[in-house]
Amino acid sequence: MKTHKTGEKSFALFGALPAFEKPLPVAQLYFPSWERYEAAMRGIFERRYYTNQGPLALQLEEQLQQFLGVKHAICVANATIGLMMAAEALNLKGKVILPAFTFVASAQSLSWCGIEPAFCDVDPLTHHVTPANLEKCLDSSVSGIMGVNLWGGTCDLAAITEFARQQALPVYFDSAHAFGCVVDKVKVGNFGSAEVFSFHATKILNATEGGCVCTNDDDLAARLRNIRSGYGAGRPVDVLKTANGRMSEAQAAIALVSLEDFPENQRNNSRLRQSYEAGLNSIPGIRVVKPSGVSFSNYQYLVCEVDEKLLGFSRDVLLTLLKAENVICRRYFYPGLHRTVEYISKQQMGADLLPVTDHLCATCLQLPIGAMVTLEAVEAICDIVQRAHLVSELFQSVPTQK
Amino acid sequence: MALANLDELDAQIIRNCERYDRYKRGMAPVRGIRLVEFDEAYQTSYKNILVELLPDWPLSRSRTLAVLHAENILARPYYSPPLHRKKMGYPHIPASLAVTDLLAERFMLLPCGEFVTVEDIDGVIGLLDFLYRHGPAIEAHATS
Repeated sequence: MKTHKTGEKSFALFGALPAFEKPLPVAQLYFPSWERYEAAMRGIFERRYYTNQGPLALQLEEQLQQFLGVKHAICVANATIGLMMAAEALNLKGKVILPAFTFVASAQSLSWCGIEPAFCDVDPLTHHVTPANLEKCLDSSVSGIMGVNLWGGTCDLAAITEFARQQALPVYFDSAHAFGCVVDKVKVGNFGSAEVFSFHATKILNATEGGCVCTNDDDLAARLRNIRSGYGAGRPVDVLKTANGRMSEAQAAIALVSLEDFPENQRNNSRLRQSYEAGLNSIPGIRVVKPSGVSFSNYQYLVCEVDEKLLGFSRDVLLTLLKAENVICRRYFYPGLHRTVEYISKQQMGADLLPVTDHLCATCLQLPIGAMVTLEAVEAICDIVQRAHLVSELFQSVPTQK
Repeated sequence: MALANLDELDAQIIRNCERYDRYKRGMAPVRGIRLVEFDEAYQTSYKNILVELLPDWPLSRSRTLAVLHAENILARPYYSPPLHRKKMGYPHIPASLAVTDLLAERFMLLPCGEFVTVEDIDGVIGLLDFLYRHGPAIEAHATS
């Protein structure tokens, strides 16, 4: 890793050696040591119980319930199927309102259930959906609200829940970014009718793939468990559709180890974040986005907003120059879901109906934070951005990815 | 895991075939029940051991399953219930599927796969033979 060089020749974009020998990914990627992984897998092979709500899946659900302080944690194969199951269990029809500034799976889960996503805008400072945003999408065909919690923070859960109550609509949350976060002493997972977490490798709690649906509603939990498996599970209740959404024992084994490691991984994220804030917030045109709405964050994402005028070049140029240095940062989210090929024709959006989403999609950048990232790496990344800002005129005509 | 299993597939099929042959030979003299045989003109994995309870089998399928389960033989009704008998919460045309109804009452899956030894299979077959020979007495005992 090289640092503190100056001038055009110090940037990989112009022919210098990249700052990092190997690509540095954005994802969390916290995996247990080989020894712990091997021990967990050996247990599975000794029991010869590999899937179908086995002992480790049951243990994980129990431990998650305890950790989150929630009545029901229903583990699933991935968060997308968890969101689909939640929409089905809540009996949603017609349209569901959700922000366009989210990962595509939030909306795809609705499409799989034959529900039309109605995209709303978000708050420019927190990036989260507000009651005022939701209100603009209300019509008689709306049957529910999906709130989305971003960047290790949350939307104003109390305000969104109260708005939904006033409209007599169920509300549930895509909390893929918010595992372990706390709002006024209550862990995320306890809000709305249900919340869905992702345990993808990119998240702080990692089952390689996986997720869970949390709820404090016994009847909803029974429906979710009956939907999760064609064979049913727990108290039998009538459900229209079933899915193979079960979590395997191998997934549960890794998630259990990851849950044990959560405090240390959160602390590591927090250390890295502090270093990013110290290094980036003094650079004109860069704002590190704070997780909003929470008293405790998992800090699993490091997202900054780029002000082109102040920095001297655009977010896309910054992305290009960092990628050349082997810093695999991402435009996140890009594009807004209202502009994706799947939904653009249905939404009939004008150029500026979701101006905040459009602005964020043009200015937000996700930087690496997680197991593969050291404090030294953060310092090097901040140094690259600082140096680039000082010679911003060099980057005016850099071609960028469309 | 799937890649490792793919490496093992041929050996697994050979072991499945050995279990199937054991069932086939062992069940030939047992009356009232029929092993549904694979068409070995085509390549098969010998995955499922499916049996049909014939008209002279002395017990209902549910009674047969209850006795097997009590002995830790985890046989399954297959398929049960048939899909058209499941509750439907949406508009549909009620189906009258006589053949499906008939089949859904007569078939069972017997234990197979890696957990099952040829000695286990002999035990299952022995019990099925016992059920055929003592069916009326078992039924009378169960209903008394």
